[in-house]
Amino acid sequence: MKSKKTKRNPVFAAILATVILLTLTRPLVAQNAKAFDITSRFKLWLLNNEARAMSSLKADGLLVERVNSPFALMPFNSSPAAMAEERLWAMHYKFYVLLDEIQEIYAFAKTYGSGRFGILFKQHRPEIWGVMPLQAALPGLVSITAVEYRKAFHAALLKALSLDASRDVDLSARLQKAVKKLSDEEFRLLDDYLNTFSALFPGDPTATMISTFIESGSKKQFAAALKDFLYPVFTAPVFTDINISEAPVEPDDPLAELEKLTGGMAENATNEQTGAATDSDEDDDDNTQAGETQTTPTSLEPPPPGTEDLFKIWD
Amino acid sequence: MKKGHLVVLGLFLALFACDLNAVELKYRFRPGSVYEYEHSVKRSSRMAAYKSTSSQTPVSSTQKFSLRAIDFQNGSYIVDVVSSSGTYRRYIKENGALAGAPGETGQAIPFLLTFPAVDWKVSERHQVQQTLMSGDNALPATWNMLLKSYDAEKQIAEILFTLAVKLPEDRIRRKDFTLKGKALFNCEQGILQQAEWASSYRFVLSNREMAVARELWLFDHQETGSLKLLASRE
Repeated sequence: MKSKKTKRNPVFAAILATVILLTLTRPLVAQNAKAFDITSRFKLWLLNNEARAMSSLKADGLLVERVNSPFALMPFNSSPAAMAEERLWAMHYKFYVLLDEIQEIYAFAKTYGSGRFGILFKQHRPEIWGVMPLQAALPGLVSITAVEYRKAFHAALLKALSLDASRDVDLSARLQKAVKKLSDEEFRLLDDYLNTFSALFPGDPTATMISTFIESGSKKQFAAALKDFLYPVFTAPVFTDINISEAPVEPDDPLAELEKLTGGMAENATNEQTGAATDSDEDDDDNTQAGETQTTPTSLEPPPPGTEDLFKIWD
Repeated sequence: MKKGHLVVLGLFLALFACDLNAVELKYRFRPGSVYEYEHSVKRSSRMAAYKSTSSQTPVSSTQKFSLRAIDFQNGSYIVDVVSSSGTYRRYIKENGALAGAPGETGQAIPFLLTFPAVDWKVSERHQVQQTLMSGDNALPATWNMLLKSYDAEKQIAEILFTLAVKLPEDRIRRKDFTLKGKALFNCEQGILQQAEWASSYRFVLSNREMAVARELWLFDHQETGSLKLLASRE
């Protein structure tokens, strides 16, 4: 028995250590991994080449400086240098900024551009769950402030997702704006780099993806469904319209929504469609969010077979 | 006169004539003397990345400094180099090598041009081989010198010099470095009268993957330096 125990212990310890290591390393790996990454490899390639060049220039510069004082009787202090490469580094810095911008735009479009994420939130109304404890204590207050809760929740959600409604409502325009920060010469140079990267690494499609994304994304609008997610319609009456003592049951009552949600997923889509129609009618009166529901997908459809769904809510 | 005497006389004259052409290049700073020099440097650079090019406006600087000769001990002249950046003590050997620089401890000492301890003759080439350290790499370097002309009246020797050194390269880094110059050495006083030199550094970084090679960047740095004796006084 003893011998069996002693044999098992190292195996058990090794398994335990592996599990612990895997648990610890996973967050580290996740930190480096970006969703829908198309720019990192190209950026690293350029950064590495820069580092090589900078290293050689510095080492050789020190050597050249030593050789350029050939007489022992002269001062050895160095003179101010003229370094044309500084302009190159400045241009590259602009490329890095643009690449980061492209990466963010691409990731946003990929993640939220289909509209599914927005619909999911619309259906499940997590902001209602957030105010549930208040509903029990102060039901009237919640009715009045429901819209404000929703707005605050939505604003916090966008912030948490690093989205900015005014900036991201038109990703194509955002991309155009970012590209325009480069001069013609700088853009040509970036294009040359992308072509070089593709030629050197024919199996790596990222450089081609970047150039294609810049070319097509700047010309036509994409990820239009993001608009609805960024500017949702808040339908409850505003505070000034409400008489607190005679406050009617709010049409968009949080608990009613919650009941709907808990009532069944199947009915929800239909309710949501009706709700959306009502929303748009009320919104016309309000005139604050006019025209924002035009591109709204009305229901969340299961993804076609074979495509990966982000949320897998049908499983 | 006998034939033998004529031959001896001829040989003597031939030897004497050779001696007239031979020059000895040695620093001989006179202790107690002050030598004033002007040192000018001009640097320019250029960069190319595909069709993008950039040139930096040449940067020039001129400074005056003086050399105070203090003593001659153990084969080295003890001098102070006094410039706007401070006073630095140097121990300079007769051939131009540096025996010590106590005020510049820890600083990389330049790769100095040293004269071979021989009699120089016009159009005769001389080589001095040294090792140039670049980090951990020891790079063999050679100073090539040539006495181009000698003004016997003024006792001024005109020397041409070049440096041959191969900078570290690999499959993606290609480099060229040249340095050429001219110096006028006052053999009577044993001091450098004037010197001019120009260096050119060219570095091409390329990328190679399998059979594909692409040149990325070209860096070209030029530098000219000059040294001129303005005055010497005791």
